[in-house]
Amino acid sequence: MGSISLIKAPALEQAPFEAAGLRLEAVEPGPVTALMPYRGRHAAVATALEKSHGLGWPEPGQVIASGGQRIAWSAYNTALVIGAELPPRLANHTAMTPQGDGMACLRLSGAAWRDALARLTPLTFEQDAERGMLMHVPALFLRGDDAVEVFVMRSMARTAWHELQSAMERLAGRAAIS
Amino acid sequence: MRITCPLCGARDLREFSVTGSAALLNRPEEGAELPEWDDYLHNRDNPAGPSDELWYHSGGCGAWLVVRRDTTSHAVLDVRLASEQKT
Amino acid sequence: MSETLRATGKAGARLPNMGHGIDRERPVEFTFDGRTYAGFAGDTLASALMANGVRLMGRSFKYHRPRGVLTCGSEEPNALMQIGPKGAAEPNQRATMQEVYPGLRAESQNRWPSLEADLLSVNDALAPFLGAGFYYKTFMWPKAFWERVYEPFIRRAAGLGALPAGHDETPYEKPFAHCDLLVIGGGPAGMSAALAAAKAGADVILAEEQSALGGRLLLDGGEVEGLPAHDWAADMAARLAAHPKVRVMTRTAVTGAYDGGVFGALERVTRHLGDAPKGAPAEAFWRITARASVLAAGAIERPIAFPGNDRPGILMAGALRGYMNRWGVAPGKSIAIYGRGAEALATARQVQAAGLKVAALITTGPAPEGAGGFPVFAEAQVVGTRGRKSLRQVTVLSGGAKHEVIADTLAMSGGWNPSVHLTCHMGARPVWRADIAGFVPAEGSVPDMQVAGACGGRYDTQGCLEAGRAAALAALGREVPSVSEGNNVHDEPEWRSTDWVVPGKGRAWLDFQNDVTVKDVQLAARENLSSVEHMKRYTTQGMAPDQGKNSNIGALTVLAEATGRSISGTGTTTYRPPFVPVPIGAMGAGARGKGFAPERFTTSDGPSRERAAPMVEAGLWYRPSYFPRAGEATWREACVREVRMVRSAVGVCDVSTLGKIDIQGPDAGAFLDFVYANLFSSLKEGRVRYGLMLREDGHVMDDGTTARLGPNHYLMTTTTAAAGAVMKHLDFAAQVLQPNMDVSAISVTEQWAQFAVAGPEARALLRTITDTPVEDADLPYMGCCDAVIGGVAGRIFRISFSGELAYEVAVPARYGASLFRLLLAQAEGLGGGAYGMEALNVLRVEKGFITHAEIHGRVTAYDIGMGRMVSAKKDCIGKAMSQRPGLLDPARPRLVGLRLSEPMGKMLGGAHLFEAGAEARRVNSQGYLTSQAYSPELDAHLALGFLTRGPERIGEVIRVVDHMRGVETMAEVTAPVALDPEGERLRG
Repeated sequence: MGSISLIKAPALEQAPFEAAGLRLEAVEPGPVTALMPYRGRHAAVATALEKSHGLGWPEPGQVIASGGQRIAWSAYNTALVIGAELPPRLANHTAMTPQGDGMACLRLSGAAWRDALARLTPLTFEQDAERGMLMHVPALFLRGDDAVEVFVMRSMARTAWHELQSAMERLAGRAAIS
Repeated sequence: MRITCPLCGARDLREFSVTGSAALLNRPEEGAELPEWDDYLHNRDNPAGPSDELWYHSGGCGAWLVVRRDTTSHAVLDVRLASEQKT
Repeated sequence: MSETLRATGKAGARLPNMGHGIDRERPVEFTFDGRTYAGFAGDTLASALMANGVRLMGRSFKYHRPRGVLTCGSEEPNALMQIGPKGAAEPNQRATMQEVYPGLRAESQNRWPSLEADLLSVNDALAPFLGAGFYYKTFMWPKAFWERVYEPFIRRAAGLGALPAGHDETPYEKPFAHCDLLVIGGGPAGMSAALAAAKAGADVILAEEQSALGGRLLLDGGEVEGLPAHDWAADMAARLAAHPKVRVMTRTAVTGAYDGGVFGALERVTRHLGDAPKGAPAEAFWRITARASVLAAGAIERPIAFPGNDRPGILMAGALRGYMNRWGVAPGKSIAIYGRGAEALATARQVQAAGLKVAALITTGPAPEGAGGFPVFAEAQVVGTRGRKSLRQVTVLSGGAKHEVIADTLAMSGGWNPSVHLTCHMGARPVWRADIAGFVPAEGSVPDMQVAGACGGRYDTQGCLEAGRAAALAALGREVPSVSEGNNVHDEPEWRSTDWVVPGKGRAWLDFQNDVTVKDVQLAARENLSSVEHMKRYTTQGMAPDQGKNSNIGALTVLAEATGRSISGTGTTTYRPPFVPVPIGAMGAGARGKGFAPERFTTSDGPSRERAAPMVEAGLWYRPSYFPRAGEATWREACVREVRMVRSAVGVCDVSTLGKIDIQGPDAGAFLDFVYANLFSSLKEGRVRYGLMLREDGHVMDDGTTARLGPNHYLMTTTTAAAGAVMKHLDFAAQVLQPNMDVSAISVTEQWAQFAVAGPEARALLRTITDTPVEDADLPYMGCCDAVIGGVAGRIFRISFSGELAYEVAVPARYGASLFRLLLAQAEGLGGGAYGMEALNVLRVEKGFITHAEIHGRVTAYDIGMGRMVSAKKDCIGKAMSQRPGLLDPARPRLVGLRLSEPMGKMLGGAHLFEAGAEARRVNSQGYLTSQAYSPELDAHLALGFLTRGPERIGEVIRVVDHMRGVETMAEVTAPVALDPEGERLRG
């Protein structure tokens, strides 16, 4: 009833882990909405997002950012709007599905983040947004300059953390070889 | 083995799962006779050479792909989105 | 005439002015079979042991013959050792590849009680009885002996080395790498290729299995461009290491070539270190993807099969040069050289220059010009040797007479075999080149791979440098410079097979590791195993850890001669990955323990574990089995209490693991009509319908409920087990079968935490957590609505998997744990609580609800009594095939309930059903049991199963037999629904 209020819990409660010059931390991605535009409406979605948030519709592998808000290609006919609330009227053009609760976002930062991920995935990170596997965990990778954000299913967050931490430990061990 | 997904680019085999012949694209119309269904579901050519197959980019973007693959060399000759084959 | 030369002194010493690969300032102590030895940094275990005068390093597999080092590379067949700390030592490590480190502990293998006195060496005396095929011929009869005598005996004798007993706690890793050009092999050709490619702007990986780049430049001595060869190699290595486009990977053996430019490679990361840093992998199994590749793997020297060619002290001439030049080891004091042409002479000169005695130069060809200062036997062959644990004497046949040569070391060379292995991994066969007496790769063996240097039959350094550069540019599609003619090693006029297989009597070894002799191969041919693949399996030729790298060509030469065929007509056996042994631990890196499979946890995982709920695996998910309370001794007590709680008060259960798929778009209704057997476009907003999904072959794929949330918006649920498969199926239906439908489907399984609230008090509970009206009038059975729950926007569905008045309450997953705690607190206030998987199963069996125990992939809608759900109004996936006459046969096993006449605690799914008087044999089986539960409400043991003509046989008493567990009972056939068949409880 009115007096009861539920409280939020993060997808993963882990203190940041540092090794091999890398830092792994669980971050709160904020609101995330999956957009899957209806037939022939991609341009309309792009225009609407341009107008409302300075965004657009991304090509496969692309991320469009404006301020703290982003739209990232994420799958077949799908993009994620991250960090922005969307006007309901956008639903005229596109399926809109909240996804922020279903995801954990693990941020790996440091110059050698690619070396750590090379222990876990065959991806090459030539594009800003790549969908692939982190060992056996399906993941969306959004690359930055000195960091990558790894979006995984909330239920698999602990496994994803374990994999990343193990890869960092291997790297740190290698770095210590004289 | 590598497959070049039209959306994701060249990717490792482990991201994909294969379903079989691309003959599955041509589903019989409603009311088709059972022998036609039997052909659709069960009867397959077994070509030595180029073969169209349906692959699912399960560990990637979720696109269904028509992969033309040479069964004698495993060479991938062509990859297209299955959704664009009938439109 | 017999000439005798006397050897003096003892083998095993360092050569003062040689050994560029060791650091004499850094001594290293290690142990071998418990004895401490000293070597130098840069030594391999083999070079250090040789420097200490140790010759005996192993025993052969079958005859337990004493063996010494044969080679100085990864092809070593003899010096295999168990290396590492006691209890965790790795078997079959090659002493020729293992670098020494302080505290290294090595033990010999395949001997008992010791290497010096091995009791099973009696096998050697029995050799006449142990020829090829011995096992197949001997262990056949009497039959009764097999299990009691032969198998235990073979098991004791079999295997090489001992596996550590415990789990392998060694850290490994399995990384990926990508490049434009992978260069395999870091000798002159490989280094030249890598540098040329890098200069051309390509990203290059250069993989070399040795600890340093240089290949034979480190082993053979000589000069390149006016510098000592090893110095030139070191300069080149430094240039490559400093080049930003080149990634040099030493201690990395490329193990396999696969489709699409993918290669496997094994890197020894810390195996050469005594104190590996924490976390560092011992080895890494790389998967390298390359746009193009250059194979510069070099060549492996071919031993000569002559009688007694396996004694310690007999080694490859190239290895002898290597031990002297790189490691500064004097392999012996009196050294005979047995080979052909300029290379044999060069070896003799090096021995001489090192201050060692050349006992004889034995050449299969004419006497080389300019040989002097030592005896030379031209047109000669070695026909015998003496010395049990160390070579003492060599018998040479030359000019029709036998000569005895006293020598403690014999360096042999029967020519070189190009390392074609990787070029054959994708099915190609190498081709024989008579001019160099070797197999070379066929053109285009591996797509986008060029071959350079010795592995392509080019043996001179200058030629290798040119060929490497040309191959790199060709691989990158650039203009290719010409390569000069020439071949300084194999420019002998004519090689004959007798240069590497000496005709005559006496045991001449081909495969040193597996003890395969020339005679064994001849025997195989006589017994008509004339195909090279049959000969291999009959004799075990090439099946040891070295995979015949040293011996296969010799063996097929013998086979060719024995069968009257040419070498090229005989052909090679199949070269398969891996090129060198790869530890299973490296292949499975990261996949033990937590890495075996992802673990999926629900939002209620924490609160459930706080209540001591044992978790069970449901696919990747972990779900609570039951929630124990004080005083409950068994899971069954907790389960019965939870079932009663739901039936009499209220229970709460996390159902978030069920698949949830959001389906939106103008064609969403039509799409659901297509993927479900029954109709969904007619479903009203705010209502939920049970849906049955078929595969195209007419069998049931999955079931679940789907709610209509808006005009173009549905929410489908799937079973936990099939969530992934259904998502794939929907993508298939949308993209492949109905690409013109305007519809999208996306998983929201993870987005929503969803809890079943079931029982007579369910509504009372809901009233405490939401102001959204949940009365019958507002939210009737199979209704759904948006709701505010604890201040959070969520949804409520009035659906039931227990047969009770029930709701499912959904909130965004961030609030899942909080809602679960709240629901439990409220339920407990109403005399209820949480229930787990055990109770959930009992509740659904009582109601005859199916799960994947029933819809296991071989049943139809008709079989489960839902045939009429396949709508006649529309097409759907599976409709046509579900109407096949055979799938509508009333005699098919069809779903029934069973009431067991006595408690069958152990009886589980899989028991078979028989007519009451029938014998319990397979041919009499009339069906099977799929689920079973004790119903506290009915005090009865209920089951579900499939029985032929089942629905026609209600009331019949049948026999239930579980052969697997050895239990049986009688059962009455009933309708599937045992409790509340009218569904009065549902409507509250």
